[in-house]
Amino acid sequence: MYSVEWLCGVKKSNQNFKNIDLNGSFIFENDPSYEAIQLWDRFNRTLVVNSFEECEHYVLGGWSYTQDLNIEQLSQLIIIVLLSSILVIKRKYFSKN
Amino acid sequence: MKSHHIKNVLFIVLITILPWFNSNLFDDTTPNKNTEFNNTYFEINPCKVSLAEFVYFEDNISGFNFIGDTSSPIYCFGRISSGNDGATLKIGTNFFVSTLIIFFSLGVLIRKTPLLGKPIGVKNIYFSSLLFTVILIIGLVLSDNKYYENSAIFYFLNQSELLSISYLTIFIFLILNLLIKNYEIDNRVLINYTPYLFLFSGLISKSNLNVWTIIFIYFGFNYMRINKKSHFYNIYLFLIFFWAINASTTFIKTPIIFLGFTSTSYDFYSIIFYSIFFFLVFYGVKHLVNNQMKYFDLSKLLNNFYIVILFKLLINFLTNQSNVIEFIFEFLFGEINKNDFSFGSFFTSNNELIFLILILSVYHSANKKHLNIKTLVVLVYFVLNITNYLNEIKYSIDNFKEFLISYNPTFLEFIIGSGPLNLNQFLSETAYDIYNIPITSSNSIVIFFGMLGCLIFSIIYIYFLTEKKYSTILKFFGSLLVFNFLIGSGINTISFFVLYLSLYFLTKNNYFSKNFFPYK
Repeated sequence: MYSVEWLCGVKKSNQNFKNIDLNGSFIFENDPSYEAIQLWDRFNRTLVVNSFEECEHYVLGGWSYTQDLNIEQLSQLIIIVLLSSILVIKRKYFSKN
Repeated sequence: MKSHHIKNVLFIVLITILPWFNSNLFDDTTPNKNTEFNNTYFEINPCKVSLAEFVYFEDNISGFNFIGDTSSPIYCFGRISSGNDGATLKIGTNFFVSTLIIFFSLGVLIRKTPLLGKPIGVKNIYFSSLLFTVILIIGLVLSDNKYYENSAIFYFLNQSELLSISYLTIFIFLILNLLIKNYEIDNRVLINYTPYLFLFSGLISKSNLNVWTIIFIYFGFNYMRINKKSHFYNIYLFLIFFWAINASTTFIKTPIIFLGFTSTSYDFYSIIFYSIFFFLVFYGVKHLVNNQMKYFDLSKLLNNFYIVILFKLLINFLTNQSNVIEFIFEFLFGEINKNDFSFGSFFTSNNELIFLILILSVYHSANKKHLNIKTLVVLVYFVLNITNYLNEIKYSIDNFKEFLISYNPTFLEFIIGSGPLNLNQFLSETAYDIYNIPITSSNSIVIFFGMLGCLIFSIIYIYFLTEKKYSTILKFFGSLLVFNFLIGSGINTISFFVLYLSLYFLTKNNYFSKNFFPYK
């Protein structure tokens, strides 16, 4: 939803904190100069990332929501459902024809 | 009072008052009488305290100012989103919730207007008009993109732009659908109720969208579907082409005072969209007059004007009583001048409207050969403030001189103007101070349509003066209206624009000649 830059900030150091182990899994080391960031997915599940690489990895994987954005999108959906319901109910039960 | 009146009043009260009570009663933030409301408190607790809670627990309300926070999320509506410098509190006024509140409040009022005896329009005509209206509104939002980005009105622009625009499209589509299906906007006699445009500005939450203009765009599309294409369409398309290619440089200096009926940027796309927008609102008014002329009643129109003036006075009085009332009324009715409470200053701020009402009232009384009490009151009020009025005229003439000194067009702009509803270029290129020196319709016509516009306007006026079918008295009162239009802000505000244009079309369609003074 949000861009990597928006959520993770700008990469400051040249050091790489992302490694791949023998099984092909990613191992992220903590970047001491990076302030930990909390990320959310669309189901409001949350995790904390400790380096720019880790943050970028998760944001590109879909953890690009915030709690506020989730609430906002739910509220927007409720408004649309509400307006549609008024229209449908009006058409079905109060239509003159 | 009849039960349906009580229901309507209750509904309006609920819809306008309840949102300010919006608060989560189960969270940790529980303000009480001892709570010190300062900027630190609201920094720690953003969107936690509702406006109603604050008013209840704070003793010194008059020490605070309230401003709307349009960039706040939906759940924050009616809550204090930030404390700013401590004395100015920002209240969440999310765009979507604001639209719903204004839309449903106006919807209740629209529903009070009578239905047409014979419904108009071709079967299913509304759907294509509705679709085109939505497309044009989205086009207008995109052409105002810079304004929305800078003022962060659409909180959802932080999401992907495609998602935001898609959501906005669905939202406007549903709102318009409700307006057509539920409120039967096509079949309402609205022509006698246009004075209410002066009471409810229809402007949504500091955006550049206005509920009234949306309705007139829809009517404009209806007009185009029903009526055959005239040569004027092609000429106007030709003009749009020249206005658009002339807009090679972008200028952004938004005339905030005209929001809802002005472009916020001078560029290629804005020129195209706002030229189409102006064209459709013009034909929307024509559609309204053509279909409802037989229902037009000058005495009803005047009665509505008197109600509007009384309400404006009442609103100014209440606004002066409390900052909270001022904030809520500004949200509902549009900008209110707080200094308008004395009769003298009220006249100064509303002289164009009062003179317009006076012209119509005296014309109506002259026709009826009976001076009624309401006309007399308006007349006395005007006479008492005649010095103010003459000063305003002198001021307008001086402004016009100031404008002519500032205005420096290219040859093409001198001939055809730089396009309707766009003052950005003029304000950017000159040092003209729009907030202290008001822009009148005469100035705007020169900027928008150049000498061509002035020439067309003059030809229409000369035709009106020389045409035998119009009575002398109609020509006299018509000339006063033209004068009031030229020295006022008629072309820059939707309320005056609709009213003057309605009167023009009524005159053109011989309404006044047939119904008043049949003798020459």
